[in-house]
Amino acid sequence: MAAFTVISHQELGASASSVTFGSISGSYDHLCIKASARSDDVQYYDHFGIQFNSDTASNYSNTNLYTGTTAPASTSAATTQIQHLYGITGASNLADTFGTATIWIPHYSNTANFKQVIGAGAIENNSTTNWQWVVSVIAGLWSDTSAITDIDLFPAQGLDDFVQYSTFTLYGVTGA
Amino acid sequence: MAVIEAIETVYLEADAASVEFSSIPATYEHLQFRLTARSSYAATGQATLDVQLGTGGGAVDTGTNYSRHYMRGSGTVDDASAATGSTAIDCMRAVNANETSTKYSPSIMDILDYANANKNTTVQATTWADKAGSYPELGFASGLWDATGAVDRVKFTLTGGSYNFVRGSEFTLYGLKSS
Repeated sequence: MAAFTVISHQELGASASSVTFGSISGSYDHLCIKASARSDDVQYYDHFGIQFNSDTASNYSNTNLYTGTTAPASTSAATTQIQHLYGITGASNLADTFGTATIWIPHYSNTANFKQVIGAGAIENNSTTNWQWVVSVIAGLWSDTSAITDIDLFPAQGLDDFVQYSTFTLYGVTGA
Repeated sequence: MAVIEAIETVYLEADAASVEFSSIPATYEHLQFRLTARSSYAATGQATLDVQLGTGGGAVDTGTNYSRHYMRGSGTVDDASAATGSTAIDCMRAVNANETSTKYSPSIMDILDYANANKNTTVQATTWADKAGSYPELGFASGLWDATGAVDRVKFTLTGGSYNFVRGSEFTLYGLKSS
């Protein structure tokens, strides 16, 4: 059996406020999302909001390491979404340039444990000006033992839209 | 059919100034390089591992069309840097020649949606390298090639071609499908 399986791939034909992966089978060990995304937020950068199983309550937390200057910084938050994975370019960024992100959700269907997320993202630009580019890594927690069956991704900076040509690929990864 | 396919592996049997992958098919959604590299650079610090890209069957672009942003930690130091108008994306590192001869630097670099003609090419990399006279360096970086053509050629050099990749350096290119 192949170790990686494409569960779903979405390329947006028009702007959309969010992307949802629904009815995810519990037959894998891990999930991996690779995204190439841009939003219509007026700024240079945007960040992913991530929610599971339509849970919009304050059951999420995250810690991130990031920078858009010469000085990296770290923050933590407990809120209604995993956030601050900076991997979505904003509308002020260089045209045709999309952010990059890789998001891992290990053991997403293990009902004994809360769910963790490890992610890395970048907002690339042809600029050296502070905050016209961002690189970031995050760790996130969903304080729920339910198997993840639905994932919502959305631009969290200003709750704007993903723009056309943004792509999102969800892989299922099996163990031995 | 496998979702991740190994397109090509290059293992250096002798020192080389560059490693180049050509005729990369456009049939995947994403590309990923996994590599372990060692450099002939023997002064303080370590060599940068640079990336140039090409499209349309031609040579890699050597113009000033690249940008790079790099965040790193080394000992108790953490900082970041930015560059634009560059002739390559210097987003990774290769271990210094003065380090133990069996040390090679691991790096992973993704090129997402590399064949989408509606997008400039962006890369994302994680890298680690020992460097003589200082702490090892862990880096996370992104890069931009200001061109929308499908990437079909990737060239790696060290600090603009100033140094060699040492024998035993190894590069593998994977293609990730989306269906």
